[in-house]
Amino acid sequence: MTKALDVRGLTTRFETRSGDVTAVNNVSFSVERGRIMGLVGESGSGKSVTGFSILGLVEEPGHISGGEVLVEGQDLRALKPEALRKLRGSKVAMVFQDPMMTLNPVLRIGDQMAMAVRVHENMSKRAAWERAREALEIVGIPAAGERLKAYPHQLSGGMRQRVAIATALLHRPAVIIADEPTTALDVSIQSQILAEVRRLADETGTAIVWVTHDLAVISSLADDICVMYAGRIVERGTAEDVIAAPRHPYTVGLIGSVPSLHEPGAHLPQIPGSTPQLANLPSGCPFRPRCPRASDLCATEPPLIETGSHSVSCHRPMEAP
Amino acid sequence: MNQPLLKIEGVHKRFTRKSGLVMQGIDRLTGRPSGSTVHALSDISLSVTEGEVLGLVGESGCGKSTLGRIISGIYTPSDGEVFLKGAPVARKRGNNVEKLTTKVQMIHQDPFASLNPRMKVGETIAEGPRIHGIVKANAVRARVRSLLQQVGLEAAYADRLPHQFSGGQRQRIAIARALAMEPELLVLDEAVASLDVSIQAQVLNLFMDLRRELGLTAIFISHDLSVVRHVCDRVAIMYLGRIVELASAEELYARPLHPYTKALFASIPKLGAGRGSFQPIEGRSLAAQPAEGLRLSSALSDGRTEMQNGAAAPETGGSRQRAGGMPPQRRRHRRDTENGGSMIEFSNRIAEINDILCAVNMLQWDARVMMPAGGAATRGQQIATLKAMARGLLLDGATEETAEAVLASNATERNRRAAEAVLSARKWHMSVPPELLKRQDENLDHRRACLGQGAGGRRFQPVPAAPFRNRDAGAANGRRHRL
Repeated sequence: MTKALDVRGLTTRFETRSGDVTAVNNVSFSVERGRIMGLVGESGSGKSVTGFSILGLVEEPGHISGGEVLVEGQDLRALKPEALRKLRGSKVAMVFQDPMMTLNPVLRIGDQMAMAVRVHENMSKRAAWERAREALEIVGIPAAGERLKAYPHQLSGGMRQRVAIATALLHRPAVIIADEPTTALDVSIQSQILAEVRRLADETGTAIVWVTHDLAVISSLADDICVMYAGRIVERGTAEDVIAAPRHPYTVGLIGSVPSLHEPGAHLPQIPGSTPQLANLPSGCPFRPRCPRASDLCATEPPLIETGSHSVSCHRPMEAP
Repeated sequence: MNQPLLKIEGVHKRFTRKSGLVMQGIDRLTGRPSGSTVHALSDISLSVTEGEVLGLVGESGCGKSTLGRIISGIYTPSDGEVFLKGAPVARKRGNNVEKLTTKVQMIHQDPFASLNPRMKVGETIAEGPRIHGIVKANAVRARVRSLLQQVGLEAAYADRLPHQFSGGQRQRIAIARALAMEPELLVLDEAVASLDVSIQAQVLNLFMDLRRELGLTAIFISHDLSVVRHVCDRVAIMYLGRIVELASAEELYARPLHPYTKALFASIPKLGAGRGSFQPIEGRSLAAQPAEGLRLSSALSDGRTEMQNGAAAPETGGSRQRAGGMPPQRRRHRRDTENGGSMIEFSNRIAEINDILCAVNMLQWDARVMMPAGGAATRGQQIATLKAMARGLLLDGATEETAEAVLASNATERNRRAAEAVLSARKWHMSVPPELLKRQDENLDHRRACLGQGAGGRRFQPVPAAPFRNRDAGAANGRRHRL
């Protein structure tokens, strides 16, 4: 299978007063056509910055200090800003958490979608509206022609997020980066959108990177999962492997914290402490201070242990099943 | 424990928005009622016994937070009464109000917003007890220190400011502040929703530990069914400002009865359930799954019967209460002797059509079976069906096709009649007086607004095309939830 997206050794740093902070630390993963990669982590784990870094959307004081981002074999990092801008929206698109932020409140849906079409392709306004209408139909918006004439405030949150996804789809991109797109939505709306997204990936072959903190969502949506902690990918594998047989102690703790897996009222196994400040990470494994399995060995950089498609970055991982 | 700690009887909450100055004038000239009213809560009755944790679950705009605020005395109900230990929480400001409202403490969703950023956390915790004289002035410091330790923080943290703490720690501080008032009842409004999973587990553990130690009574408001199941004894599912199902957590999760509860359960992604395990609510149309659609409708009418019986003889229904979309006094049940099932019969007063529509919205495909078997429909039934049709809620081409398919097949008698009802409803569409439809529209818009905006709604939502899409209107009010 062809790799739609191949990220190799991506590193993003932020220069702050308290020193250089590495928000994304040597992150590598790849997504094949038509597959959904879930990027899971807690607040501050660097999952969103990874998404932004793929598109080169990191602003001062941050900068991407290394790595390659290959989209269908083309390295985005080697491109000039002008060329990169042409690819954004056409070959790689992004969906953000807050659809109110991505939609212009004073333009009709159709106008802004048509604008997005015409930036990349030379076509008439009428044809662009037609393309926008098709995109809305793909994401399951009824009476799409009517909706195009609506302003964002006339649509509900779920509808707006569908419009944002439709806009990302306008040019049939090879890759869509979705940054917590259903976090602000109700569960029933979320499940509708998840179903649409799954269908899109299957039918159009678009590769999707789904950034989220919600393990339950990702386990029911994604093909593959990367678990991030303190800017690094600590575990990577197929969704089945990572959820059913996690090997990194952090993943184990994270999955254990989900109440639905326990008897009602039972004491939840909790990860002690809280997520570390990126500015002063401990040496070696960043999870070391919170890890029940930590030993002296963990003060050194953990190795990457790979068994088939399942890889874990840990000195003392759980046994492979 | 004979007397419930908290008792709510027939509480309604309406929010009224005043018209603008010009519209007020016009309304006065034309004699129309001025302003617009949103029904946030309709006819809520429940009770909480001492030491119990009751979960309130629902999606954005269902009224769960409004109910929480009424319980904690922030809002006063428009109708109905709230009793705390048998004493009414007075609707008007009176002598006992302040005493009573200190007995109910609230913990809010966002610990970044609920703590005063310029007060040391020790002062924040001490403020309530000091003002209300719960502890003596010279004992305040010691009390703060012990509270901080009780919620798992160091006593020395009392001199720090909120910005020095992480989200989980702040939520612990908020809990300490609530406990400082020695409340009879805690109201936790999405208290763990904005926390990361691992931190959420810590706070949930803390809550359960405190509950064991102190015998807390609490209302736990959440949209997260798995969290609610974990900490609650009983759970109330809310929809459109009503409680649609109320049962012990165990029973509710094992055997949800109301179609909305079932739909809600089905739409939640579950960890470890495998890929594609979620079921979008809207995707389950009759066209897609004809057999299931019709089966569910019979489950519904059976359920209604149960409700009716349960109301008449609560002991047979066990701990479970259950309500349809309508207040019970407004509907009658007719025994469908031929099939042993029961069907709901509506009387034809206009006021009730709203409730029917509410039911139509809620039950989606089931509404079509509300058409009477055999005999002529009452006017109310006709209009409800017609309205639903007009909105494309019910009888699009696909369902008509399905109805014909059902008739062509050797379906059961019951399903055949349902199919016939679908087809015959089509014909009535033409004969409804337009002014009646218009009046309905206005009523429905109120209902929608209540559903979309929740408390203090300011805008009306556009009318969406399909019933369950309506509810994503809730996200439009800009509130964030971490699911």
